[in-house]
Amino acid sequence: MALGTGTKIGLTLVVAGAIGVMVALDPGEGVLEYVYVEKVTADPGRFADRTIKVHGTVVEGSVKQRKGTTGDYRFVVEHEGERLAVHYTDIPPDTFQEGGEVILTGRLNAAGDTFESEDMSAKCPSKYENETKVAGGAAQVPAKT
Amino acid sequence: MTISTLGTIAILILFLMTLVTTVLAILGAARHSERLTEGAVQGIHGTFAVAAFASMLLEYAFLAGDYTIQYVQQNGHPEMPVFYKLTAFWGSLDGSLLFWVLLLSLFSSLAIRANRQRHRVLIPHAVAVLAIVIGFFTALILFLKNPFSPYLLPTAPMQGKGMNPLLQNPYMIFHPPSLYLGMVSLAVPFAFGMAAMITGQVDSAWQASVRRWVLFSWLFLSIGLVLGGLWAYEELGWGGYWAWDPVENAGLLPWLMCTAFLHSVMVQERRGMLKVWNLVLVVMSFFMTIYGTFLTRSGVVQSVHAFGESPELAWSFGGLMIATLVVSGGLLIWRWPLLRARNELESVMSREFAFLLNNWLFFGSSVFIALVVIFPTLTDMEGFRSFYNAALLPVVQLFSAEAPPLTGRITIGPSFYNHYMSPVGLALLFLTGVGPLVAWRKTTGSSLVKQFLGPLVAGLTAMLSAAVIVPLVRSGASGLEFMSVGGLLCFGLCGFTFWTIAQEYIRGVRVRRKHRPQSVLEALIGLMVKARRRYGGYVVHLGIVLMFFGFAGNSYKLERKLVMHPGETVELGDYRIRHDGILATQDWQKDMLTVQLTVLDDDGNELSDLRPAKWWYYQLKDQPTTEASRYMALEGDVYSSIADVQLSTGWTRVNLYYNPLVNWVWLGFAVMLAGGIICIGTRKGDAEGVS
Repeated sequence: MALGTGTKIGLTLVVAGAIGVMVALDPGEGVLEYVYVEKVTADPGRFADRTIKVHGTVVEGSVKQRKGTTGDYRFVVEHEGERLAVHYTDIPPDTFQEGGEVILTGRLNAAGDTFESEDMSAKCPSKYENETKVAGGAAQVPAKT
Repeated sequence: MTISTLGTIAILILFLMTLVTTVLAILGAARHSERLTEGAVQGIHGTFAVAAFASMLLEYAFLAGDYTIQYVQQNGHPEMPVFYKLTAFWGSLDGSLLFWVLLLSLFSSLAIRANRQRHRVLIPHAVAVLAIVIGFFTALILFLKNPFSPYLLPTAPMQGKGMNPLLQNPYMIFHPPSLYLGMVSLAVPFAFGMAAMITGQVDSAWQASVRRWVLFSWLFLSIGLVLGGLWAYEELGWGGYWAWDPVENAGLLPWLMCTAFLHSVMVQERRGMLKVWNLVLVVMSFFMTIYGTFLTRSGVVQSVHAFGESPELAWSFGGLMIATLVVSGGLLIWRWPLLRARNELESVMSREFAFLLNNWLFFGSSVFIALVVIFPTLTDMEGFRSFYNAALLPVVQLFSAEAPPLTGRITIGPSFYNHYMSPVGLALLFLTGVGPLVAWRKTTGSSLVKQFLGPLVAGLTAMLSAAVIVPLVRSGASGLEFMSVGGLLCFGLCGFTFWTIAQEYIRGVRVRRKHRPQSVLEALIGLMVKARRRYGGYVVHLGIVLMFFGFAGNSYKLERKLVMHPGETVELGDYRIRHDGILATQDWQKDMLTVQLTVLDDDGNELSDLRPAKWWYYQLKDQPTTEASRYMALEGDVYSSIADVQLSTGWTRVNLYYNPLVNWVWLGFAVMLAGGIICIGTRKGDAEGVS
């Protein structure tokens, strides 16, 4: 004797309902827009009050760290000739360096001229990479989860 | 002749051998010719011999320091310990493909040898499939990524760059080959599954032969995944072990499919059901290994350990994936009439239904993760964004009205995966407990009550204990405050499932002791020996419960990021951490700054030293590595890492974590591994698997 049609419909509804509840309860924190520096500088207003990910290269000579109570960093990232100032308040990954590619998570400040970030991924020095062929930040190490 | 030339010739011969083997196998099958089939079988053994020769040449090049070979120059170094020189073979993309071919040809040779007489009809077809897969990977090496490519400069470099220091870690040395072993060996069940469909011999016989292969793959995938987690935990310094990185996911995808198959195959053996489903799982397990390889080697996704961008590899793997789906899908449709089930599902209160649910969850999780991993890459395409906004967004908005349209590329982080996968994990833990409580075909109401009572009491007790002892529930101004509902459920389900397993052992021991006079221990050992597959399976489940117990600890994890100076003491939960100074040292490889921390209990008694450090390898001066240090205890780890340190002032920016129950994850894994080893030793005729 096979399962009845009612049971099958009931099971389908339970599965669909469970998926629906999961989607409805999703706070949306895990999904962020990912843009390059020039997109932010072209239209800062579009990104006001939103957490986003910004991809760029750390400008040589721009990294400054305050060795006070916080040890936060200030540096500049660039892409396609456009530059954006960054205030980074967490711990950078080991792979963070001037001239290296980074992907920062954070928000633009009220003035729209500085990106406030506390999460960063930097290009991985993985043995698996052929440095001459890596482009577009194809690999990173997470600073944290 | 140089090693470079000799190696390239070996790869060329290997490729030609796979072509000849494929042709012989196809002709042998078509003409039912024993001679041609025998030739194909010898061809498969021969491919292993040539792959082994090429691999030994590459190893020799690393040991001898032949830096005229690009791959050796980029990954080798004269001062690297011999162990790392040997393992540098699979350390980068080109060599890893050769390693893949070596393993695949070895497994093919072993599998064909073992099944030569048992499945005579299947053999030529299985050989053809395996030779095609070996040929595919050999072609990639030959035409795109030859590890024997020489420098075409008049003067070759005299020295190698060496392996990245971050990866010179025992976990990292064994983690990739474990994953390779697991992934590559899945080609064998796939080949036999395809052979079964081509020949129409789709009964359970072929599955009996591949079940142990799948178990073997599952074991090594598990080892690879856990070693990767341990490496991340000990080496990266962020206090965690799993971040849903695309490359971590690449190993998880086939693992989930294998786990589904290992359960569903029991339903086919016992009830003659799920024949199509089992074939689908065997195909999808293989497909997910290719998909995972595509993710890690093509550069289409962003990842910690990606091998870099290679459009040619992306297209090649894309082609293999499409071919796999089209050919196996076509065969499945062709053989559909032969795959009709002997029995039907009779009740939702049956063991086969519990298995079916478990399979939906494993399969669904694998497909879900596979889609989520690739989704950000798709959002980079204007066409896909338009399609999503027009067709999919309205469906999503039915459940979540505020879901925004796609306007550009997005990223999907760990919190998204955790949101969707945590409930699935808990549901699977629940089903792990339910399986043994329900009978095949149908369970009566009275039996249900009798079976569930003990586990339910155990589950509630565990939940209450966590609520009070941790405490995960506190009384606040607005009534009871739940620190983590998920954590509470996880503890409860651990208790529930643990008791179902214990119940099975208690019953088994009682029955044995009733029939013969023996001690509890003798009866327990007797159970494990007589019904290894069933009771070994329960050991695996016990390991899973212990791992979930460890995961539950995340619900009250503590994290502090702060600046400390020598002499200063800070609190971390029930512990206190004292800064005792900084030590500057060096060895032949690196400069080291080590921070001396001491873990104290509430009363100020010293429990342990912590020695987190920053290392600057001479080889990579501008990339310091973080060396985490932890105080390990069963109740949890006190974990420390250094973000920044100044020797002159003692200024230290330190990350402190309290990771409750984290060591239960590793302990549970060891138990799970032991269970898997018990199961893999199963002989034909052993009692039914865990259910």
